[in-house]
Amino acid sequence: MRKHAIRYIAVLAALTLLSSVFAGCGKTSGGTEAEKPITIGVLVPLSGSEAYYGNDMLQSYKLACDEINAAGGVLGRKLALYEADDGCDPNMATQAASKIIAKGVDFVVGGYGSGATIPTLQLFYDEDLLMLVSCANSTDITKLGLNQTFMINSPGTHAVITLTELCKSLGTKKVALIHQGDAYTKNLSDICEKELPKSDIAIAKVQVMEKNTPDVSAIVTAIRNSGADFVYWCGYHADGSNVIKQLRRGGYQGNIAVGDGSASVELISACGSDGEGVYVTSPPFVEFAQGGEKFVADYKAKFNMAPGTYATLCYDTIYLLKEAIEQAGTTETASVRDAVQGAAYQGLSGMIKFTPEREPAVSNFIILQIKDGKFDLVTL
Amino acid sequence: MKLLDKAFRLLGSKGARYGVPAALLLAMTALPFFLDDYALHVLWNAMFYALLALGLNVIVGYCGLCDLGYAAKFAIGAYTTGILMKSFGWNFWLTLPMSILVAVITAVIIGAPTLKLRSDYLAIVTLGFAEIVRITARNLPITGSASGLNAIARPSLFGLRLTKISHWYYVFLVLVVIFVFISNRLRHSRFGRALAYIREDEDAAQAMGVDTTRYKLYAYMIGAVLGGVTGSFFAVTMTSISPGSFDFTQSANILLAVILGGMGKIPGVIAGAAFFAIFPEIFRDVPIVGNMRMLFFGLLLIVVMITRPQGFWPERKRG
Repeated sequence: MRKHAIRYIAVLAALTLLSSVFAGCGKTSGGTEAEKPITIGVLVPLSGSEAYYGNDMLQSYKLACDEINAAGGVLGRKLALYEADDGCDPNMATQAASKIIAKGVDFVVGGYGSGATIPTLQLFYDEDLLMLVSCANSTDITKLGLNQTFMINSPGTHAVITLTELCKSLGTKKVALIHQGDAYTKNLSDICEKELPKSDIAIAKVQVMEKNTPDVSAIVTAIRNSGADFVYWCGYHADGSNVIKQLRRGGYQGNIAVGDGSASVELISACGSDGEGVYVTSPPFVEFAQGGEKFVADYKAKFNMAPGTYATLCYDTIYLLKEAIEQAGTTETASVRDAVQGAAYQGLSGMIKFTPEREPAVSNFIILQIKDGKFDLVTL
Repeated sequence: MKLLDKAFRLLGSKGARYGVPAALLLAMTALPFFLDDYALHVLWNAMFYALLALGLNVIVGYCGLCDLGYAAKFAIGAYTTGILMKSFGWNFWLTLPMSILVAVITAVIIGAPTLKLRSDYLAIVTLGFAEIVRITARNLPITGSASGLNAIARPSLFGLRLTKISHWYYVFLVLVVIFVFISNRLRHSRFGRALAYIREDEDAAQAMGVDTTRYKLYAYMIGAVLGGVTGSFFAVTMTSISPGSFDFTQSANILLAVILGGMGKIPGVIAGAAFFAIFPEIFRDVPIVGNMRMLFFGLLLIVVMITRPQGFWPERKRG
């Protein structure tokens, strides 16, 4: 009897497999050019450790699209999103990119981790697709020299400018850096190593901490012995909270700042009282943006949760694209590309403009500090 | 379960032994005319894992050695090609022999001291070596440190620049055929029988005059070369490589594909790899199940291991 059951399950599983293969084969068709929605591919991590951010990004894109559609769309056409999960992994990301390309989208937005985003850019470029990278901010993205790739989020160099200002105002002498070895966090650490000494701030030590390292005592000891009076954590919040707790419990008295990879309310809850006073070089959090109240209210009403770190950047990305399409008067890639290059869009995250290298011309980093279990805007 | 074995025996019968693979190959050749790029990419990914699994199969399946760091072999191939093309401007096809050479050299460096010992030591050394390779790649300027090598040029073949996924689909299909041919010839050669002997009973093999250390080293080298070549093709298909692609999960996935499919059995290994690459993708868009697909994936692995501990499609023992 048991054997029969297993056999039936196996057959059933096989049938499901087959049917979904064939279901995936059907290509969409129908509708004339003018009626068809403008499809925007969304490349975000929807599974794995970074799924929280990917989901937040997707919801922000959705909110912007729904607003635009309710107001009549763009050039009389609706906007439609088509998301693909990049899992924040290079191999999965190229697969997701193929999925987006196969759908025949008009534009692509998204990109959370630089490591996963970079391999997809050539694929999109080969298909003559415009890619607006909302979050990934390694300068390697623009170094590829693909003239249809734009970075919306300020790169690490902007974060370090903000960090230098913070260090100067605190009278910092020696900074210890910790990164997690991946493209994004190492890039940030490398820039700090290069730029901070120019402002007479010494680098005490650069530590590497792999993701999901449970024991950080070696790093804490090394930092305490290095005589640093400022620790800059370049990594992500999951491990960052652990480092902050251990530093404080190990008797470290100096200042601690974290990079935008840790700029999440989850950092506050994970750190508890040890997190008090920690600085964040943060992307433009919506709570501190001008005109952000309406966005927060709408986001909460729609998704029943608070908007996350990159919500404003993603929201602005869609509006920037809308403006560019309207200015170009067409969805043709080359014209829209030129419109984006020349854009000066005032969004929730600040002014969005591009350098000739297609990086943001205006920094959108802000400094936050954890006070009484909440983020507080710091003005220097 | 008996039904499954019966089906496999039928597939192994004289008529089916050549007919079924030929039909499958024909179907695979025709598929790009019916499928979209995404489906092709998923199939490409399946073939990519099949190549890695076939390479590892020589080490694990044929010789019974435990290699926990196969990602390093494939990383070395990928980086050799990447560095030669990016920093020295080599043509892709010329990097292949170099990639093979580097794979052989590293295999000897790792294998020569450890393969004299019992295979457990190899497991630890390969695990450590894989981490060394990954962390070295992450810190050297020539490997592009953490962000890796980007914008690796796409090669041409007979004047056709290989840019589309359908091109790569056919390249990898040819590679799979070559790898299957090599694996098959190995299996049925004197060398392959010696490896099987070592796998079944190393002491007895040695007593019968098989130079176990040397044969194990050869098997390890062949596995490394197959991995290196796959890595080289991976680098130009993806056009960018970074240390993130070569972590321990990657090694574990390849090993699981071999064990799940059936160690030593070529169709089993390919089926295992294909299952690994395709299963999570198919269930991605199914409602409800989609979000929990990795959970089901894990459960399914457990079920397979309980009901078929020798793998899904194991090698039949000859009497």
